[in-house]
Amino acid sequence: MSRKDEKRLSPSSEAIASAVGDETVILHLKTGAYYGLDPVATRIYQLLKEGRSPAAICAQMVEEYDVSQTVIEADVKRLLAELEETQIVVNPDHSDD
Amino acid sequence: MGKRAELQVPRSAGLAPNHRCGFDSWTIIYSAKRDAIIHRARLLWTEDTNALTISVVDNPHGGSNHVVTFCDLAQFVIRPSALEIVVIPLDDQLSVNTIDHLLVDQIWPRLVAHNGQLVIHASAAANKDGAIMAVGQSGRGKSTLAASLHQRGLSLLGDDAIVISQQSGMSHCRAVYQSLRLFPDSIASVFDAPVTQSEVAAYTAKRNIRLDGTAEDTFSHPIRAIFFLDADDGHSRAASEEIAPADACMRLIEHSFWLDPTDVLRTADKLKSASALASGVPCFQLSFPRDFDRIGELHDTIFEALQ
Repeated sequence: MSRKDEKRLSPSSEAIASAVGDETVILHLKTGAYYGLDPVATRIYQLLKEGRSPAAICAQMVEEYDVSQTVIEADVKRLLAELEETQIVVNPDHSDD
Repeated sequence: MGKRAELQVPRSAGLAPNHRCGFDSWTIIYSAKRDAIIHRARLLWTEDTNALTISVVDNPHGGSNHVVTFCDLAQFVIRPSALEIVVIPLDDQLSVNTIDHLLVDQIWPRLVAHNGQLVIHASAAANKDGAIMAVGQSGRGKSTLAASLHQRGLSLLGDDAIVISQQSGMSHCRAVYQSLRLFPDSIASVFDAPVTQSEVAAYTAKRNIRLDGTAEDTFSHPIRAIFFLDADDGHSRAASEEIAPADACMRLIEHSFWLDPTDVLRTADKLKSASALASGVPCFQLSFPRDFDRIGELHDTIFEALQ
């Protein structure tokens, strides 16, 4: 993951999450939209909540899953972009929430 | 707000201005004129069809009041601190039946939900093995399915608002109020003999059905399965497909009643309740042809899924 992808992201205070089995459902309070995360996305979201950077999340996922670094990085990048677009995660440096 | 376990179904008693009608600890007041307070209300939520809006207005005596508006029909001002619901007709021809229907069908489930319980827009029928819930948008066949299961020997809990509770780690359900409302073609298809029926409301052709000789089932039943009724009419045969708990949880939230969707604590509780329900109960997508003559196939599909 390149340095330009390495921006800080954290769960929005407007989003609440609930575990459903090994998956997660997240509800955005302001937009009323809700999202489901599969087990892999749930793990990425957990690591994000722990304050890990995208690069650190990728490193951890490579250790835990039998998938190549390239695939993991692409998956993490895509998920974080989706979550940011839907305001589930925000860049705390640019957020007023 | 009254005690959560003791909320009872409201029954109005006539549409006279300023008439007061008590139920449980709440009072319904019919007002002939619009309340100026409504003009200061802050919009919280508008239903997709724009038929219903919910607003909130600060109460000068503390707390807040919610205003539920049904387009061109009526407004209901909910005053929790005074335990009052003020009904303001927006249509001079508004009938008592219509107000009653809106009260029990839309307002009361939202109050129960606001009181901390998960209320799902669903029908439910039960036997000794537990309850079967059918969830779906209006017009998808929830009531017809519940009525047909009742004809097959199950007890009818309700056809519109089902409240969920957790008891000894198991999800249970009961109706917020028992009802069965069907369109005339469903009535003719489901029942072999004439049934007692009455108007639901002026704006719908659905009819209230009274199931003569059947005791009301107001008990909580363990939930055996939840079926989400497919919106697609084009299926050639009945089929069920189990859906993942997270997907089921989102669908349950989508089909739940709210009074204040911006209330963070209540929303968190609701999500927690829906998560527990979806995690512990098998949930299925149910697709079927819209053909009354083939409702037996639909039953077979449901009971096969329960095996």
